[in-house]
Amino acid sequence: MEADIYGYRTRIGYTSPPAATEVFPYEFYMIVPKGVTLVVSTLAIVDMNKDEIDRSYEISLRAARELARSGVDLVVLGGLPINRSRGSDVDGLISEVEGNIKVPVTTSTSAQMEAMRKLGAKNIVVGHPFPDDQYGVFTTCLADYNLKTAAIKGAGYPADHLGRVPRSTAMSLARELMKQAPDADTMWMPCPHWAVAESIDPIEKEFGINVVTAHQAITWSALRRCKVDDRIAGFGRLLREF
Amino acid sequence: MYGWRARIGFICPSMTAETPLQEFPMVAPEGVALALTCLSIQRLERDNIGESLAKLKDATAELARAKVDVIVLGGSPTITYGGYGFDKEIIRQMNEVTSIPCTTSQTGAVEALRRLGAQKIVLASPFAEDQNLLLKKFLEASGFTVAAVKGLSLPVIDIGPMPAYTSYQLAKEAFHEAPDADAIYMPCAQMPTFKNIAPLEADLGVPVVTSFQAMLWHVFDMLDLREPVTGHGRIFQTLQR
Repeated sequence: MEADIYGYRTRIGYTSPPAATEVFPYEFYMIVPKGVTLVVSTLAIVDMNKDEIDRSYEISLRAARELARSGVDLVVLGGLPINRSRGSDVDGLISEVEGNIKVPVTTSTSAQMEAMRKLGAKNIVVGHPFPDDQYGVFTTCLADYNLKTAAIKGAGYPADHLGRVPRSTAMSLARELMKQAPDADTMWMPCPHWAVAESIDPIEKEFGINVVTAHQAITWSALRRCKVDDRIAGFGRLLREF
Repeated sequence: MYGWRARIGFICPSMTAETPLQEFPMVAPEGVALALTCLSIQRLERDNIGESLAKLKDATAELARAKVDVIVLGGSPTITYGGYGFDKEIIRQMNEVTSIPCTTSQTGAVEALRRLGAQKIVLASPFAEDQNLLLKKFLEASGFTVAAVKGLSLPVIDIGPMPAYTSYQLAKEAFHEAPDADAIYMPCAQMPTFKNIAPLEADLGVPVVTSFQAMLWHVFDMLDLREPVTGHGRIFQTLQR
């Protein structure tokens, strides 16, 4: 029987860093079962410069409070650089925000690292949409979680181009990275704002590796935290088996 | 990219967005995507609406930087804030920061009602009496007779998780107060309506225009997207050549 509200199974809140949030909701509704809804608050973080990152905690907290007020079941604090803006203690950040807004909280970072653990990732290739000079934030994050970066490659797009990244980009990056590091066991695609969902299964099949994308991991973690345990096909082993 | 056919930049006036994200995929043709940015309305109070509108140009500029094909400001309170004609002023302000076509969902709603030949309408709204009165005045200044008004007086934060059937019942109650009305108008994109539009049109025999439906119809029209959209109101039939 269909229940009363669109989000009759669960409502997931997400603080979305980019001012123009396009791909995240699109891929969310490709993946989730009926009865699960997304509630977004955009943070208007534009350039990821130092000033914005420094202010990002306050901006995120304000959005998280509003999401809590709307009655969501979980708030996901988006943006790996924002999650780590006050250091690598992401668990401390979660406790602090949960104490403040009185709703369960997780972060984009926690979701992705939890997905890595679940899949047994050890030797990781990283394909991201940004210029190559932005790799530091990703390799440092992996190192903080005792994970090895086998190779890393950026597609070279600026932040305001994320909605227009071609859907073939993820596969092209995978092919280049797997040439560089053929013994990798996992491909990580950070940033949930470029089109990657349709590439997950093809990459897993072509190279026999696991794929963790930011969007897929956030969605998986949020669903499981909200007790939606449906096994979902089409978007990698993570959502299909765990 | 997902929006290979068209990308719609949507400025959501409230600080959170839920229903438009759920309802957009119900009608969007393949290759059409929605890029969202939120303003900061938390309460439908004049000060809070004004503070949010102060962010309009920045929001427009951000969507322009993302190179969307059209930019639309959502919401009725953002327009009735300035009274009749304020949608044109808002569009003028948006066009100060971009040459991308800009519009408002209120402009779309009025155009949709006109396209359907509506003259005497009923208003079924989640808002309280003060906002409904402002909207009634705006609609009357736009040339419509507003024959009945029904409101739910809901705080803006409670509109998204409304039961989906509520807008059906609300519209029906409003229509029964003025059964000679020739159209029903439901403002507020956060109010779930998409599942009720076709049943209401069938049960009551008049066209139904809702905020988000009219906004999408309006931008599809601007973008020359003529693919048939069925099951979400008569207004979409007017897109076909």
